[in-house]
Amino acid sequence: MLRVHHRTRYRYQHSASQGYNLAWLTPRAMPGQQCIETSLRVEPLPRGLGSRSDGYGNTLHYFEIHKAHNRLNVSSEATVRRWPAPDLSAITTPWEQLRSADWVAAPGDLPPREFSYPSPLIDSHPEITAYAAQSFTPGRGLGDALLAYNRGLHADFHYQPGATSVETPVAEVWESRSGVCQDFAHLAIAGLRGLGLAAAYVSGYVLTRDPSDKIPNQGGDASHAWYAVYVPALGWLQLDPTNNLVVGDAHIVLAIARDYSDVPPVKGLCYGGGTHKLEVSVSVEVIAEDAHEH
Amino acid sequence: MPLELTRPAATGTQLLPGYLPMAGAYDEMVDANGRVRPHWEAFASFLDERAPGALAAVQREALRRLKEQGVHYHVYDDPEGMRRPWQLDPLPLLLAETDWQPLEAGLAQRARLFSLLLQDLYGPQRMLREKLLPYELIYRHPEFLRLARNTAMSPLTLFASDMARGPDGQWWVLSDRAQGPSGAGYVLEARMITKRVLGASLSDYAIAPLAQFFSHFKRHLATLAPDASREPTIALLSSGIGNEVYFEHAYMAAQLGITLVQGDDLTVRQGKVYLKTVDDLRQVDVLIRRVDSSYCDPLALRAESMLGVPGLLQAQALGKVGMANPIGSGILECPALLPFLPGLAKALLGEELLLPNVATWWCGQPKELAHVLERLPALVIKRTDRAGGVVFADQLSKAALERLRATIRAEPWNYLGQERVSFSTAPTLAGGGGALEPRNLILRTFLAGNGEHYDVMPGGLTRVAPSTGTLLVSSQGGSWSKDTWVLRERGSMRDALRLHPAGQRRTAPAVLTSRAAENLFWSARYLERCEALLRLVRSYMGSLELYNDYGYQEDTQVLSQLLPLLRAYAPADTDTDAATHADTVWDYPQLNRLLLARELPGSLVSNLHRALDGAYTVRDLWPVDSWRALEEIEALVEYAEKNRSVVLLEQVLQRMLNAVLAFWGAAQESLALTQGGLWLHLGRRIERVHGMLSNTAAFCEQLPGGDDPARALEALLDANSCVVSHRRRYGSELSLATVWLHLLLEPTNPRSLLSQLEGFGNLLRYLNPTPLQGLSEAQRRLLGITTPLQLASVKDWNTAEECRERLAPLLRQLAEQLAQLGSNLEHRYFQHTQPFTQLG
Repeated sequence: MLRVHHRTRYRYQHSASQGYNLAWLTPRAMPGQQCIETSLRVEPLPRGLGSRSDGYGNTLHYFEIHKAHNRLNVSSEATVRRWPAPDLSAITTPWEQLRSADWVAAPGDLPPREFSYPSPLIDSHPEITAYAAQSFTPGRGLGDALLAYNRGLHADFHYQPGATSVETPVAEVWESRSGVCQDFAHLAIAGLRGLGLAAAYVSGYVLTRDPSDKIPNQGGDASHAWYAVYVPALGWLQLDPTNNLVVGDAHIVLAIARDYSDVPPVKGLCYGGGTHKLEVSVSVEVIAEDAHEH
Repeated sequence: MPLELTRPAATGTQLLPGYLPMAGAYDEMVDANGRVRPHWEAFASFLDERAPGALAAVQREALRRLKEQGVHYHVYDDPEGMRRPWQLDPLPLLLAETDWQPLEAGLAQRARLFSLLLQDLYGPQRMLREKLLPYELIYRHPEFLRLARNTAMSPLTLFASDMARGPDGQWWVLSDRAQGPSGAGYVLEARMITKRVLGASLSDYAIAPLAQFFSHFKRHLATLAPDASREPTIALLSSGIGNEVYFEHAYMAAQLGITLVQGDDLTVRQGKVYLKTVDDLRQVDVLIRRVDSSYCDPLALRAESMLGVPGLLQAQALGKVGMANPIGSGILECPALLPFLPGLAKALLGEELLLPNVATWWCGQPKELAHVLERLPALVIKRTDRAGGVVFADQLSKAALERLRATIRAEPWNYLGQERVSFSTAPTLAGGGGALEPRNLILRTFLAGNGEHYDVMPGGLTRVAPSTGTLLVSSQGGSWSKDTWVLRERGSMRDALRLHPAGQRRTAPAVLTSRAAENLFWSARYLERCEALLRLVRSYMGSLELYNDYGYQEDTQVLSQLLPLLRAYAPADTDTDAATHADTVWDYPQLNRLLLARELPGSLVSNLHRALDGAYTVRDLWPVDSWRALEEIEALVEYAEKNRSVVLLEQVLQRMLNAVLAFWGAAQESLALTQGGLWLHLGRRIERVHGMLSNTAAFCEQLPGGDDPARALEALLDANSCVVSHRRRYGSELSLATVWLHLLLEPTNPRSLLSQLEGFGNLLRYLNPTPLQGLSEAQRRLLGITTPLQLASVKDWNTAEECRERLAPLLRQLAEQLAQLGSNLEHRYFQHTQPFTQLG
């Protein structure tokens, strides 16, 4: 089981009179992930706090603040049970066969169709598609191709915090060959969609160190992101190109959507306030199964 | 139509020899044999009896009325000004009831279909899963709003379709409007004006009335209210005076008796929508949405939108506000939906689609793409998101055609091709001169309903092409509008005349928004400033004429006394023109500039424009006569700006003053204090007092020692409308003492400063609902201004020196206190929404 504590702190230059926010901070209930406990705390005390589905089946929180405030703290905690990563190399079906125009989602699965088209931050890009085609050679088994693609992304692009912003379109990331986990995910998705596959953006967390506690993961102390690709009968397979991992029991899924713009962990606006500073801290730890029994 | 074709024309001769229908087009009035269709006969004789001259007069009268009533349609990028008069052709389109009834049934079916489609697309998406609609069309369309998916999506309340009639007499649907269809208000206005200018002969026609449709509309709106236990508060959400059809927003709000609001008049609290009034927050139950979906909520949708309300989508999603039409309904306006409607009608309604669509091919499908590319020059090309308008492919050069082909091939899902339809024609006067010309027309029809049942407006808004033979009809492109008469059989009129259907639910009265109060207050202040300036200039010009005619030195003294007062209106003016002339006297060029230089802050026209802009923002509140007076002022401003001659200047000044006074008179008579009158009067009073304080102070500061200032004092009295009353009170006596007594302190002179302050105090009482708890802050501040004047004695201001050293500083100080009182009022009662910033 994994436990995450995610704090988002805004500090305003001046007092803000009102604030409105949306947050995608509750782990998604889905195959491979069971939510044991989740909580969300907002300071100052919000009004109208409520949650609903966001149209992709993710939990969307909404809240308002109607008093003068110069800081906003959003703190979420969650405990989830995760299943280990599947063995992708066992999927030997030629990848082209999964490029169906007739995906029928299994009940409970997010329908894949929507994720084969470009989205606000991921426009189609012929060069990225050509890059993806180097891994997806004709007739190659899907698992094999995906692992090669993921490995290639990890090797060919630089993980470089600060190189991009949350709104950097994928074409710019391609040009600069560098970015953060979100950019890696967008790149990967652009290539897969270009090949005719359904690929989604996954927002979440990764364990700060892998279970052996030897290799630090990138993005472990912040929100993390990766991608998922749809395989009929198997559902959504997730890979983390930033860390060259198949997603399993070291990751926690918050939300799945077309790209970052659909599911930022926290977004909002405030009246007044001037400029603001943002601090984010995330910690993810492994906890024993029985640690939560009582 | 069978009726028309089988019945022989009554006269058998050619009526209207001057009217020649276009070859190949269906003419609404004249059939293929040149005979007038039966339902047009009476109207055709009416036209026939009138010489072109009389018809030209009818048209002029229609345009005059439109202007007078302030009916506008904005044309973007039109340097001629934001508010261009709407173009109405006074000859209606006539439709026989037999012709209309099948349309009614077909339109009602269409509205039900689109309403169900909306709920399916944002809900179960059965139409996508059953392949009746391609996924790609919906998922790649920018108006499919993900955050509205799986939320409470109410049915469509208002729906509109644009239709045209082909050469065989068959009506075709060209496109549909389901976000916030515009035009229904213009229909009302078109009906009113058309009936007025065509005159009494109309009693011969059984024209289906419109009123019932609007009461149906309001009834359907009321049923959207989430809480059925109280009278719903309904508001119309407008994007403001920059919108092309702002006139209609205001007109609809006034007609329906609801509140006109803009985004920052509203606030969402705990998922409910509230309206900011001067006193408190009032919950809004139903919104007529005239802001496009994606601009409605800067939190959940387009972050850069300044037109929306943060949290509005949440309110809709939780069902806490009724939205007509729901945020997200823009997807229904995608023109590529048309070819799928027959299948959708079968699946969603179990019915055959009654009204045919214009043939449409969505390029997102291979076969259709090939078809469009092959027949490109014969088609009309549109984008699925309706951006970029309509392309008539046959008008493109060969190179442009190839570029279009390449664009479509690169992004086929974004494009669709439509068959070019030959629209029917109707006689119009649009060409001017009273001659009848056939013009191609399209008809926008309107429906109001609840998802299951829709009421169709009998008739609609007919729009005709800007010139003969043009097919492009859009309001932006300069089309003319027409009223549309559905001519009922005699027997069916009784039902239609029952105005209010049984079971009409009462709705809460419209409320005054804080924004409206603020605009009234400032409009009044600017208008009062204009009035004071007009009087001052009139006084000044009187002396200037005397000086020019006789050259007496004492007239220059009067002029130099008044000059600082004039200068104070535009203190920032450093224009060399104004400065070259000796400091002591201004001549006509400088006056002209102070009055007519629009770019000069503080000039008469710039103040008038600010007053008019404010007034236009609260267009829905004005009684008819007040609005006419405003239009008169605007017309005079335009006239004066175009004709800058001295002689005209004098005439125009007086007429402007008259118009301003007519405005105040009408507003006083008919704008209730609770409906905004209070803020208008507060603004006028505070501005007048402020003007008197600063003008009198400037006058005192300028007083020279020694000379007898009698002539200048008289001019000051004149600028304050006090010459006659002073003379009646003091006879020929005129001194500093009598003038100060009369102008400042005399309680029996209604124009005196103290009387004005007293009037202001009376108004402030309305703002203090709990007088038992003592004076409000504004009242206390006012006391601080009134008391020193009440305690003052004119004996202290007997000489020019005393005036300069005692009176002037006192008046300046009081003016400063008054300005503080004003900002205190603004701060307390007007919602100054801070700008918001997105959190990154």
